[in-house]
Amino acid sequence: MSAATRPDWSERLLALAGGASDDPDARLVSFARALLLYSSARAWIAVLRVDGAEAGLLVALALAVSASAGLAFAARREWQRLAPRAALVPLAIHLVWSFPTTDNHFFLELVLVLVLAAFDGATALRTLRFALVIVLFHTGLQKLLWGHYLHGDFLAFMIATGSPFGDLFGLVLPAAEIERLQGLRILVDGAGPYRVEGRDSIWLRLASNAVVVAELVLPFLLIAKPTRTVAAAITLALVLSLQLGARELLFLSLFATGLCLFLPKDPLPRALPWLALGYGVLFGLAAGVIPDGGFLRGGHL
Amino acid sequence: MSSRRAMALLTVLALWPLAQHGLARRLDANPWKLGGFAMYTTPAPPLEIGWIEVGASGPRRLDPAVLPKETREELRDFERRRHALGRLVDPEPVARRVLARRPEAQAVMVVIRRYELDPGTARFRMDETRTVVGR
Repeated sequence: MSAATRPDWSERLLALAGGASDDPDARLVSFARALLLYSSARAWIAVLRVDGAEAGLLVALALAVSASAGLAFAARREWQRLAPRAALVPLAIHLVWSFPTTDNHFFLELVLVLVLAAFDGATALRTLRFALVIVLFHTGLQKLLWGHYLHGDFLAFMIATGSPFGDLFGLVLPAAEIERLQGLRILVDGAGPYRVEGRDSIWLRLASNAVVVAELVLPFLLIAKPTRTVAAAITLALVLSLQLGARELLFLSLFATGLCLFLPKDPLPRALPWLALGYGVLFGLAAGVIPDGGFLRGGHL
Repeated sequence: MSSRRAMALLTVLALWPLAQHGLARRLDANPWKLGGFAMYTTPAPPLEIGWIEVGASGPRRLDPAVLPKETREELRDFERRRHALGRLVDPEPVARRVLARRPEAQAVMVVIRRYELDPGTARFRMDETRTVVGR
């Protein structure tokens, strides 16, 4: 192979996230549609959470994002290509408006839209895959660095504060231990210990460390072609259980949409109507017109 | 070349959370914010912010409700930014504006208490900073 035809180092690295059955252009069209549908839902739900002058701004941003999503569904390729670029404007404004309290989920959304806007074809598809595994890896690395998962302390804290996320892991603790944790105070120097000791702690510690190991290892398995499909299924199961537990339904849909990029056959074209329906339901839940039966715990989505 | 630009973007995405971790550790930025993807890693550190005015009769707690609406909004904005950005947000400017609204006060003190879960003891550790501005 001559120097002129040898792939650049960056192309060789990106190729690690390539796939034999990839049809990049088709996958990018369906992913852009799904992603901008998510962005629209997120933007309209955000409108419900503010009032006054801020509501006017957020309505304008939601209209702009929705218009971009509409472009993604256009028949003409030129309009489809324009969609993520058009969405960047309201997303950038949203970032400025919300900073520094911007949700991390929004940063992931913004990065994914930016990749769609900036790149084409195989480069875009591979960059999207790498972006998602980098984010997944960092969720595990941060848990390791903060040190609260080794003994299950963070999960004990979430159980103590009655968080929905804690409910999921509280299933492995005896009722007496949950009562002890929920009796602890927070805004007091020395409050705690938010740690379960002895035999009661075994399952909690196992679950806690399993989450960290999974988030650190799955990114590599998602990139490696032989393990990609199985890893996508395992990651989806992990994200489903954690995000349903945390009631982070919007983030669940965002990350699940991203995981579709790792499957050999693209499920998004068939899933789009269901996604649209699901986002409609989420909006109804957020607006209070669909009763949640206490599932959302204060409207958190 | 687009692949190099893509690698540049991915490099920033890979390195930024480490920088955010540093900001959280050293400057008390909120681990749950600023794109570090550190949600559900540590409790978002609770903050207690108290205002004290020092007058002729000594120090007493200042209830923000006695301040004008725009000053109260500035205090809320300060709390929001301090909670996210930690010590990158200096309390002195907003304390000076509070002092300007309290002509009878000789000084205003901002007390910020931050509670962080210690991974060694699994207990909350409180860190208090006080900022005093005077005339």
